[in-house]
Formats: sequence, C-alpha cells, structure tokens
Amino acid sequence: MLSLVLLQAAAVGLAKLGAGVGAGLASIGAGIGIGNIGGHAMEAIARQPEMASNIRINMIIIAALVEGVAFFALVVCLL
Amino acid sequence: MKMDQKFTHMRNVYSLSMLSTIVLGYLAISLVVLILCPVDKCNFFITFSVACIVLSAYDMNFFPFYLKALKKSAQSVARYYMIQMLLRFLLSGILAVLGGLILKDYIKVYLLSFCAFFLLTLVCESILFVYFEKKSMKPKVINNLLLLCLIFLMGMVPLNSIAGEGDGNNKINVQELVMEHTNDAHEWHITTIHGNSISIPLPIIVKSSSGWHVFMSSKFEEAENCAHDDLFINKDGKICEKNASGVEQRVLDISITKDVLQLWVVVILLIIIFLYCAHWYKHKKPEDEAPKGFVGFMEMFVMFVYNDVIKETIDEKHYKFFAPYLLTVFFFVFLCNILGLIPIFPGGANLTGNIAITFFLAMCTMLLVNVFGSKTYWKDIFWPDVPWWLKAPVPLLPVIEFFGVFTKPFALMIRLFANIFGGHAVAISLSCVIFTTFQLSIVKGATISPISVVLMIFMDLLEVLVAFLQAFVFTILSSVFIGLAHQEEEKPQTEIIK
Repeated sequence: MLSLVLLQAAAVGLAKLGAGVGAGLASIGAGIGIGNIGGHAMEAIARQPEMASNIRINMIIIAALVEGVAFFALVVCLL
Repeated sequence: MKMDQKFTHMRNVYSLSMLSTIVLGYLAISLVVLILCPVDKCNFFITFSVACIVLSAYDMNFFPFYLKALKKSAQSVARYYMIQMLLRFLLSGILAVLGGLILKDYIKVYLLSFCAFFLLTLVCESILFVYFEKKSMKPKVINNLLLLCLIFLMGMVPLNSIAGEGDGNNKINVQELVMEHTNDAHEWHITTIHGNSISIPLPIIVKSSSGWHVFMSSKFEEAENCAHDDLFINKDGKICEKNASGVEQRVLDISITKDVLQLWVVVILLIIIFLYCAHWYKHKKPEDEAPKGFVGFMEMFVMFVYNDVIKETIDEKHYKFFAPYLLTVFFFVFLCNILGLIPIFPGGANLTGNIAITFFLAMCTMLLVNVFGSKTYWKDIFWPDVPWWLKAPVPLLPVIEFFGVFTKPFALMIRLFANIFGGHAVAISLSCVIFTTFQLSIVKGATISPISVVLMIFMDLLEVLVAFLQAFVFTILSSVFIGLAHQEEEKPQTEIIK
C-alpha cells in the first residue's frame, strides 16, 4: 500500500531514470556493434591492403546503419 | 658593423611598432569603454591606465635580453620568448586581480578591457617575433611557440563570459536554452546586447476562421500578452485563436519562419555555386585543361559522389536518371549541416535537425524507389522466391517485406535528424557549462571554462565530420535502395562449364 503511494509520487523521477537507462543501454549496443565492425575491417585491411578503400566505404555504411538503430532508441528515450 | 646596424634597425622597428600598438590599442579600448559602458570615469581610467603602463613597460624593457639571447643561439631565443611570455601572463594576472580589488563595481568592464589590451600586445609581439626570427629559427620551434601563444589566448576566453548574461538573472535553464536554439521560431534572433535582443522579424502568414492574416512577427511582441488580431501564442509556442465556443484552436500556419529562411539561403547558395561551376564548362572542349581552384574542387567533389557512390550502386541503364536527385540531396544535406554549425546569420538555423525536413527528404527517396521500381522489385516484395510456407496461407514474408518499404526511409529520416540534432544539443550544452559554472563561483568557472572551450572545439570539428558523413550515408543508402529496385532477374545458368 505504502509502496504504491511512493511509486506514484516518484513517477516523474522513474520516467527519467528509465529514459537514462534506455539511452545508456542503446549506447552500449552501438559501441559493441561499431567496435566489432571496425575490428573486422581492420583485420581485413591488414590482410589485403589494396582493398582498403573498398573496405573503408563499406565499413562506414554499416556503421551508419548500426548507429541509426541506436538513434531510434535515443529518440524514444527522449520522448 | 653589419650586425650592429642590423640590431639598431631591429630595435627601432621593434620599439616603434610596439609603441604604436600600445598607444593605439589603449586609445581604442578607452573610446569603446567610454561609448558603451557607464563607468565612473576617473577611477576606472586611472586604474586601467596604470595597468596598461606597467604591462607596456614590461614589454618594452625586454629588448636587451632579447639581443643577448640572439647573440647566443636560436635555442636561447626560443627559451627567452617562453620565459618572457610566462612572466607576462603572471604579471597580467596580478594586475587584473589588483585592478579588480580596487574597482569592485566595474570589475567586469575592467577585466574585459585589460584582457583586450593584453591580447593586442601579445598578438603584436608574436607577429614581431616571427617576423624577426623567421630566417634563423626552424619552423618547428616557431610553431610550438605560436601554439603556446594560442593556449594563452584561450585562457582569456572565459573572462569574456563574465560580461555576458547570467549575472543577476535567474539560473540558466540548460534544457530551455537547447530547445530555444534548436527549434523553429518566428524571428531570427542574432544577439542580445544589454538586454535588448537584436533579431530579424519574419512574416507570419496564417489562415484563421476570419480569413488570411499576414503581418510581421514584431507585432506579436508590441501588443501585450503576445496577442494580435484575435491570434495569440499558446504555451507550446504555436499560434492559436479562440473560436466561437471559447476553446483554443490551432490555425493554419504557413509563415516564413527561421527554418524556411535558412532553407532559401541554402537553395540560393547551391544555385549560385553550381550554376557558376557549370558555366565554367560551357565554352571548354574536352581536350582543354582541367579546372583549377574552386571549380576544380567542386568537380573533384561531384565526381567523387558520382563515381564512387552512384555508379557503383545503380546499374548501367538507370544511373543517369537518378544521378541529379542523388547529387542534389548530397549537396543540400551537406550544406545544410555545415551552415547549421555557423553561429551567426546567415547560418545557424537547425535545418536538418528539424524532423519535417528529413521527413520530406526520406519521402522523396521512398517515392523515387517505389514509383520507379521494376516489376522484379515488386514481385520480390509480395511473392519472393522463398519456401511456400512463408508465403501462404499466412503471408509472413510479404508482410515483412511490405513493412520494409516503409522502415528503410524511416530509418534514413531518423538517422539524419538524430545525428544533427544531437550534435547541436551537445555543443550548446557544453557552452552552457561555462555559464552554469560561473554562476556557482568565479573560481570554478574560470577553471572549468578552458576545458569547456577545448571540448567545444573538439565537438565542432566532430560535427563537421558528422555533417559530411551523414550527407554521404544518406546519399549512398538512397542510391543502394534505388539500385535494389532495379535489379535484373537472375537468369538460370545455361553455360556449360568446360
């Protein structure tokens, strides 16, 4: 009974806490994803330096896609 | 003999230029202070003059040491310059603090003017130093010393913020400031001097129940309670009217707002740039020389997008049709992003960070992809080449593919909007850090502010990269989607492999 009242009083704070946690998790996901892409791209360039430019362009495209997903989460958290 | 003549010549040039800078600078700063600020003239000017004289005496008296160091080696000259600058900085600090203690009321004006004087003499001295030392010293040493100069300059930046807003006002609300700078507005606010805001009023064009109203947004401010002609601004900042039953109702609003004006500026700039470049090519034959300068740079840029993005992703038969749209989108987004980083008119409106603009661009891409998609493309959406149990009786994959038609441009829209809006929000928040820390205490403010300035410079450079990158990604993804809509059907392999 008391906890319900407390929860009601803390509703606004809880919303902000949720938003913060969501944004943080989204950032972790984006970091892991882009780090993976970058790492594999580095290995590929090390194996075959003459394809560096090709690999770089693909890496940038995929990084932008992954970051787009993270931004979805960020926008949802902001709202 | 020659060395002595050279030294005399040097000493004369040095003394003359330093003296003239000092005198001119002092006069200029005093004039500005006289006109702009209401100060207690006697007290302030006496303190300011004394401080300037002390600093100038310090500057002018260092020449013999400079000559002595010059006779030894280039290394010692560099060392001399560094020691001299350090002592100068300390001396100015002491003078600033003393002056501030004496003038308790006009401390801001005094600090500002002393700062200006210090900077002026610093710049003049550095120029002289480089001018004299260009031949004998290695460029690396000179660059290091100039970098030191720059760092000292940056340390002065926080003092400027003392004289700005935030003194005596309420607490700075960072979120409100960020929203104010990134949202659309009915006037273009340029700056605020002494509480009067200087802004460009823009026309408001609305259609309410009583017909069309066209007027300048300055009329909204003149009337009380921001009302004019039965129209008023509600708490969300939108224009409303009270209809017959007294209920607030939005009106049809097609005013020229800040974003619209910025859009026109971008369009005009694009037209000027590209028509100028195109005109250069008009009377040249393919055998002539390649263009140099600005036209050469634009050609390099356009051919980079054309060759590496458009030709790669769209097949031979169709790329010429879609190339104009994709190139336009790339340069429009890039120029919008770059102009959004300039803090003053005619830049600075947050255009691509406005979701309506990115929505329109994404919608254009969606229309282009789907209206001109080949039959194969639509067949792949509604009846793809997959096992039968994914297509019927419950059309799983067709529904997913159909949603994909909408989610891909939606992702384009959100990606561009969030990247640019986020960049602007972070830059504004970092600059608010200066104001909020100064409100806590001047000491905290002065220590945090150089870090904030460095962070802001870094953020701005990152945003330039993001501006280009987001334009590039938008274009390449659009062209990939267009290319995917024009794939040829896979022909069955009929060649015999020998």
